[in-house]
Amino acid sequence: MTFQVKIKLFATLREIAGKSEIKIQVEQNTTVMDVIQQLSGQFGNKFRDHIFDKNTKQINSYLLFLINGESVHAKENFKTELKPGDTLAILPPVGGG
Amino acid sequence: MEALTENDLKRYNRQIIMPGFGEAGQRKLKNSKVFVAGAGGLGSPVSVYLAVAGIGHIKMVDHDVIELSNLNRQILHWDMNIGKKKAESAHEKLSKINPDIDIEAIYKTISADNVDELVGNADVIVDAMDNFPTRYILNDSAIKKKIPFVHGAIWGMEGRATTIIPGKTACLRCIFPEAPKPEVFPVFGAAPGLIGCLQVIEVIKYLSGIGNLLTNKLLIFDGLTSEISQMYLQRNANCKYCGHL
Repeated sequence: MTFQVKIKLFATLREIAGKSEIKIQVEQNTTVMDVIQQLSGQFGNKFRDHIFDKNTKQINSYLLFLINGESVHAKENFKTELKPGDTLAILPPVGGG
Repeated sequence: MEALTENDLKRYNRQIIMPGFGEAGQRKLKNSKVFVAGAGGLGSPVSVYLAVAGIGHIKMVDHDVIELSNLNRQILHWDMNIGKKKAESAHEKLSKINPDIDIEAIYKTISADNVDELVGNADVIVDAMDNFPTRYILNDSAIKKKIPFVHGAIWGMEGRATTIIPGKTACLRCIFPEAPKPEVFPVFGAAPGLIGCLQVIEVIKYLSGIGNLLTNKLLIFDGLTSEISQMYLQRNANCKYCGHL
């Protein structure tokens, strides 16, 4: 069984993807990390380089990942499974003033 | 506490009549000191609206000189001011906008060494910076002094804001443990205009005690889609900077 989730991108990530919102079909037990990998495949190396640290290959710690407005850190981090209708927002911090 | 004058009652009448605010609220603003870090895109609307609201003491710090490329957003500075220090230009305009308040504008770079002295005994710190390293310095001083820190930041037509109450809410380092890479960011003046105004509303609410603060929530304004959302934030119990509070 598959279901739909919504991904919202902000600032530079939106610029790279060329989209502010993406709807994707996922299977049950799909985790945040699965979605990040799928998006990285879809939007290419530039997107991937913004998500993962080039040296450590870990997800950049300055990015905010929120499911329905709550940080994934408050859940099971990148192992958090998505549910039907969830919105995953990925926010790079912005520093302008 | 300094009392309101006849002039104050007239000047601020339209906010004094706000239910729940009243003369008591105005008196609190008059006797408050707000530290504004930066006199640029955010610092312009922040300082103008703090000044017209009658904040008794405004202290601004900025280390820049006005350039032509600033003028699409930094409405405190005008074409005729190019080459002038932003602190000077800000002081000149704000004194004319409201001659009844005390404005101090200092031409200086905020650093870890001088931040505590610059912030002094301010009641609130407003983040009107354009870079993360200085924001962290301000965040750390706010934690040390237990002063509320009203964060704002923009990118393009996007903006973010949150009110940090040290010991009670997530601090800037809990939210963003690591600074993004420095960049020349795109910006339309209306974005810092909007976020700066939100920051002032937070300051007024905090000082006067009305309403609910934007605490443990990150407000995200998305100008391209006209959406405003709030994301829940949580303190990091292991935060090296505020975890002890």
